[in-house]
Amino acid sequence: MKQLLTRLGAAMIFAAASIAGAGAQPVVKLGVVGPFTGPFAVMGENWRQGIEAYLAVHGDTVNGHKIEVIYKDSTANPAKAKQLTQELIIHDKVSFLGGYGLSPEANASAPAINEGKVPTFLYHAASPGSMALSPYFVRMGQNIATNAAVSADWALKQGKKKAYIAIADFGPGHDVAKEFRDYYTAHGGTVVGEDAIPLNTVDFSPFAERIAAAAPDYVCMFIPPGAPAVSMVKALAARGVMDKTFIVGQGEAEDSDIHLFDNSILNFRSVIYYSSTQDNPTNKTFLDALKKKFGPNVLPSTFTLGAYDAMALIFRAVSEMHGKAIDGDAVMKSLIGYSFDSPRGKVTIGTDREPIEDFIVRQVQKTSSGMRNVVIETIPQVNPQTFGK
Amino acid sequence: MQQFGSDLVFILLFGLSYGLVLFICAIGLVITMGLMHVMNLAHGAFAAIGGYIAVGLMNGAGVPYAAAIAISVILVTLFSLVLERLVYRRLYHADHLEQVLMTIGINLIVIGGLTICFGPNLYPIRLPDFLKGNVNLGIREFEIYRLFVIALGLVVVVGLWALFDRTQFGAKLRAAVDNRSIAQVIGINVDRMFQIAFGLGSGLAALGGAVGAAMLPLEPYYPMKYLLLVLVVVALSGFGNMKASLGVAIFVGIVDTAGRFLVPEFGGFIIYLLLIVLMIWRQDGLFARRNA
Amino acid sequence: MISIDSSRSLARYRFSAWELLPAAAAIAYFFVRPDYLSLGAGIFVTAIFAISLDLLIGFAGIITLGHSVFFGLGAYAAGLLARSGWAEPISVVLLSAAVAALAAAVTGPFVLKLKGLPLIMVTLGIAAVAYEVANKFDWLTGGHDGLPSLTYAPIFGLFRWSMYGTTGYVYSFIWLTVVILVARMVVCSSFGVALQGIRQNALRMRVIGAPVLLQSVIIYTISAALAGIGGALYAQTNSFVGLDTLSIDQGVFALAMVVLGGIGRLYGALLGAVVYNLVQDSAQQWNPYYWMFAIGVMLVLVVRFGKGGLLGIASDLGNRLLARAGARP
Repeated sequence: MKQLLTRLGAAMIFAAASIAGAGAQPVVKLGVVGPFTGPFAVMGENWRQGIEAYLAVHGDTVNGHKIEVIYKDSTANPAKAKQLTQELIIHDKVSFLGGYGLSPEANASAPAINEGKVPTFLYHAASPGSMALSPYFVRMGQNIATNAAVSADWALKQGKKKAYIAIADFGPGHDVAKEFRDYYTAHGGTVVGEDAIPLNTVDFSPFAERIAAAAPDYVCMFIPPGAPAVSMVKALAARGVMDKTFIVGQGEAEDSDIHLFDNSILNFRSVIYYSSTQDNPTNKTFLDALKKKFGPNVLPSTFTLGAYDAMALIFRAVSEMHGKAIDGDAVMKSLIGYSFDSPRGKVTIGTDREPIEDFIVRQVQKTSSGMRNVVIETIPQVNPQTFGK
Repeated sequence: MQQFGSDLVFILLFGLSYGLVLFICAIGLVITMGLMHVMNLAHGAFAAIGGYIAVGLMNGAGVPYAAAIAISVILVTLFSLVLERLVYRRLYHADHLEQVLMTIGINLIVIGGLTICFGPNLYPIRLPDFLKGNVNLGIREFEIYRLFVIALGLVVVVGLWALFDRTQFGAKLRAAVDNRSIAQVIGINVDRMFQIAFGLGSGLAALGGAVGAAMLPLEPYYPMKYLLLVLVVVALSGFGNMKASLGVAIFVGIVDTAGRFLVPEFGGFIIYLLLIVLMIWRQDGLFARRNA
Repeated sequence: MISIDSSRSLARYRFSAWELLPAAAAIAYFFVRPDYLSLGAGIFVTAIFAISLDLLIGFAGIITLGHSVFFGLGAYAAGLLARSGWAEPISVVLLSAAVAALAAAVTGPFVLKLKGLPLIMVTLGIAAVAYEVANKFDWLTGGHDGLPSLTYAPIFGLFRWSMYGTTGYVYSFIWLTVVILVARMVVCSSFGVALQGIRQNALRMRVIGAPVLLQSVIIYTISAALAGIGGALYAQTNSFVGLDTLSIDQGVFALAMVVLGGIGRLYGALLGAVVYNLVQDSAQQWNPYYWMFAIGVMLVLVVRFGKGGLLGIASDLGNRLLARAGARP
């Protein structure tokens, strides 16, 4: 009985609010699903920073519609991500989705997203296979295979003809290894050794030993950041490999993680698509907004960037909206081929919904504010579909 | 040939240092299992806490390396004695299920607690300068830190041997392990033995965690992560056979290192497969003893 | 001491009115929270896994920390069947259960010779190896990325799968009922009584001629089949199978659910799974490490005070109320 009365009451209030609200445009909602707690919590934290920074600069209303953001914590569990996605689509009636920190989360949520026809921005998930699972996925970060190809290309341009591939033994690692190997050998390099390092590895000395024995001049590395990356670098340094070879990874030593390493990380190089030191007006606005809202010590990452840029795309979609609701198919169509200025430079959404963007090569160097990743080269406007072909 | 020699030395030396850290961490559990027949799955938690306290003192308060380790060992030993009184004493006569549940519960509490205090990610150790760098052994270079670990491990072994074989306390302890009831009959205070043994074992685990922190990195999941390895050493040495556990620990260290070096694709499996096969084939461990 | 309610084992075959409560609750949930049916289906799947674990740990006294292997086997079997075109849902569940049961039947005779720590270690070791194998053979299992977008045919050709989760909810609830009935049958039979005898004193059972190893293998197989059902349902309701179906953590948390609800009480596992998951879902802003801490404290408290979990507390209260009612003239 009490239940019934409560529900009646709620229904009446809702009806009253709807009548009062009629005439104003409906709220457009963005659902953000991903890890906000647990070992990957930094992803969710950074997304929030990026989104709030964008809203601080551009306000929260577009074309008369208020933009509302709902955050849901999946703790990086794919089944949970799927469940939360369903709830956001059915219960909260979101018009856009974003986040999905790890590719399995995106993969698991794809069927629901397809049924709901909701444009979904993968802020940084990098698995090549994800895009095929849903025509509503837009990748804001990078395709890991593209990164590996760029790394292989740069290695050859530096005259490094003997490479060793050392990757962590899981999906993304295998993607990197395959793409690097294919590109490198097709363009004249020799792979002198390859290791798939088990994820539960604690002591990396055997692998450092194997690399030293093979005497490569370039090591293509892909190890999860945190304890594994730190131990690997330590082992390589102890074995004397760090000095003699180019060790090149991706996100193993972001500026926010450098304090975990000792001096053995110096000269570590990485290939990625964003560095906070990039010099362009959009990046300046981005950094200023972040510092204003979160203090002078905030460190923007590729996570922050993906969420920030996605907001720009969402704002554009809402400004083009006719009628009361977002048409997912129309949004996807209008996104293809669209170019915009991102803090990382110019980005174009390709026909495969992957970004065409600049890649940069960084090196860890001693700067006035301690050890930092410094940009040493830029590879402009890499198109995943055409690079190197 | 030179390469082969270098490889062999690598496997032996690295395996030895790795195995000795495992030994220091696991010997406490060997004693506890042998003496009190308590399946303490939370043993790794003492190692983790020991490591965290030592590194915390070094990083946060600038305490020198040796002092930090000594302090953490003392603190963990005291803490374990309190825990023994409050919690473990009731487990001595409990069945396996209760021991498992209780110690898993303690593990989860420690993991949760460490995260709340230190964050969910890696807690890095900065080795003091005298332990950094390599030394040239002729055939290859070798980390000074690992030599230090080997030396310390041998000191612990000799110390334990002296304790168990040359002191009255050691004799009483061995008597209590061999036959608890008769030991009590002849007037050995078995409860006191348990307490001291538990404290000793936990202190050694803390030492292992602190000294080994540069090899086995500290993160909140440490107790569960290395649980299986520690259990492997305990099980293969026959649950209480302290002398055997040294050989087994070194064996595990070398096999794991060799496996990952020679067959990196499957290196991670090898030690687990070995465990499964050996456990099923020789239940009482590699060095089965006839127990009275 | 954890009191496992063995006193009324023979009387259990009689259905009591309380046993309709789960069905009533499930129906109520369906109408009260229609937007959250996906969560409900997930709880049913976890409950099935918890019940299968309780059969082993609570009744037969076989302490295993690697039970997630059978759940994962069921999940991947169901996933691979869908991938290769076999999409009839019910037969997929039965086949996946059979795969898990086969694995148990083959490994059981060796593993179950062990007791105590060796048994725990070997089950842990097998689970660790299984996880690594699934990760390695990513051409088969999809590895880290998992097997996504699994599609199944409508049930009986009528009930389609959709993101609204209605079909999934009702379907997994029906399977949960089947699992409970099977578990009930095992527990109330003379076989079930024999199992409790093995748990309490295996040596004595051998002395009276009971085929202890055979009986242990049988319950191990049954429990694995039930876990396999859970895994297959996971694949079907999520349209996705990932490596976390094989993770050891899953087994540890299922153990916590069983302890929370009450070990060896059949419905304890169900109650524990429901409470655990509902609380965890609503406490979403809790850092999972705080949650871990809370679960650890819960485990220690339950062992320390031997109350037999939530069901134990409920039945104690019930008995006390009845006694007071009976004492009045």
